[in-house]
Amino acid sequence: MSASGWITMALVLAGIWGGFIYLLVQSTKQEN
Amino acid sequence: MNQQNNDQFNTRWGILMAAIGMAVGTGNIWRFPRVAAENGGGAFLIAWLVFMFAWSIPLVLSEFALGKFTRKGPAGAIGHLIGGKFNWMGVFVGLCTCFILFYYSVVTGWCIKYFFVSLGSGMTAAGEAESYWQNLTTGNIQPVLFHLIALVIGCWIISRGVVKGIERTNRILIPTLFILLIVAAARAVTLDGAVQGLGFLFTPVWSELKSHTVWLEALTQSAWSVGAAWGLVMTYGVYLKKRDDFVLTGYTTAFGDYSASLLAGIAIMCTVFAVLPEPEARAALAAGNEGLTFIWLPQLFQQIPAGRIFLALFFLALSFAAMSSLIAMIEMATRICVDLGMTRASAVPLVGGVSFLLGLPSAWKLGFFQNQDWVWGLGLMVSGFLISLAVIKFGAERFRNELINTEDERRPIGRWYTFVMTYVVPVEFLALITWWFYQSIKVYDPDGWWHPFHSYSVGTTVLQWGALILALLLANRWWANRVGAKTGE
Repeated sequence: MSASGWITMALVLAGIWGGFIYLLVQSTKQEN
Repeated sequence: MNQQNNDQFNTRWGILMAAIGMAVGTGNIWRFPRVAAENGGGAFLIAWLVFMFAWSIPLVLSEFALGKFTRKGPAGAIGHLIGGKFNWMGVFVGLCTCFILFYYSVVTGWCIKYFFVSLGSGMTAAGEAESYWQNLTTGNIQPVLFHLIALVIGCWIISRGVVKGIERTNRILIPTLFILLIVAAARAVTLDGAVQGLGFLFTPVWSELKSHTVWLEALTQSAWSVGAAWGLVMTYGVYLKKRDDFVLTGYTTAFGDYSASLLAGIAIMCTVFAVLPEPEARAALAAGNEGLTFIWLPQLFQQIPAGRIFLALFFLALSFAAMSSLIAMIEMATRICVDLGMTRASAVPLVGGVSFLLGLPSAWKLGFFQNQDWVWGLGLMVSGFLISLAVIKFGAERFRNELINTEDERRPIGRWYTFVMTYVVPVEFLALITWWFYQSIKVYDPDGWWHPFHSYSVGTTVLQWGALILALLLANRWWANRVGAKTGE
């Protein structure tokens, strides 16, 4: 895989998975 | 506001799991990976991210607000908001999803069937998977049986109510589904040659961003996947407590859905490219949703170490994804009946019985299934347009201020919502319908695109939508009175 592929993968996964985990944590905090 | 609903979600976590369960379905697993790979990989992902904000999230938030404010599902929410003469618009949204429910329970049945087949001796010989699939979908009684099993399970869950049924089930299904997807993805990336699959999924072909096809495929994927404009979020909105805010839930639902898609994409692309040489891998991806999932993947999994176990886990994940979406559809259909005056106890068996009967043609004949998937899948674009029209008629800025950014909302949404609902969603709808009809005329059925009884024709779409809209307009006064939708006129 090319460098641009690795970079895109890192950015997309960090954005989507990171965003999802952040939002889940926020939801849990709000619940408490 | 009508506060007659005493069956409400217990916790924010329960709402969240139910909403993610509604959104994550088979489309995340069997459609996203191949569409992303065929449309520029990383470039597609950028377009796909844009439409999370330019279609899915604004519509999801609109639906939450409609359900929570009006305390009605699609049967009466839009009529309640902007007047009884527009009530048919909401009913179209609900019935479009009901038509999807009729064949989606068939899909759920296929997934359950394949889970059990993968546990047994299954399809071990080369080429066996294809003949197995063809036998199964050509006048075979088994899809009918598993269609029934899926509906019985779904109706049983819904009959237990919002908290004991929907909330409790999704609290188990969704975390388990994510664990299964993580295990499948982790296994796939450790295969020799998996990097090539990652390359096809993530390497951006920037020139593809100039192609309208990439943008339209990305919009279609986002629209179908997140569950916006299905009427399902509207239904779940009815069961929010007054103090429950929903903007954070809407965002989390969309990000959760996209996360599941990426996990499935990694699992499938790595497996396909690890086992097959590139030309055959491309052929597998071009085999369509059912072809990739039910013909290619069973063969591919047989060829990796411990593949039988991972095949069973894959179909278990697919069954969970399908079931969590199916119960949302059954709940929405039940809500329509309840809004029309039925009790929940009598509505659930009625929904189950009607869904079984009207799903029979799809269970029996693959061509009928494909026709319904084409007509009502595109119908969801109409549903999105109708919801945006309702918001525009009410006043998009007023809708944002009075129905979304209420005193209970801790994370108000910005003015961009107003712009997207007023201008962007209607333009996207026009672009999508024009493009898909163009595909029918130029690619799918150049000779018979006008024919009302061809599977993928413009004619069949116009006929079925037209018949439904005509019936809804004729029955609108009766229906609006029945659900008390004159309020607010």
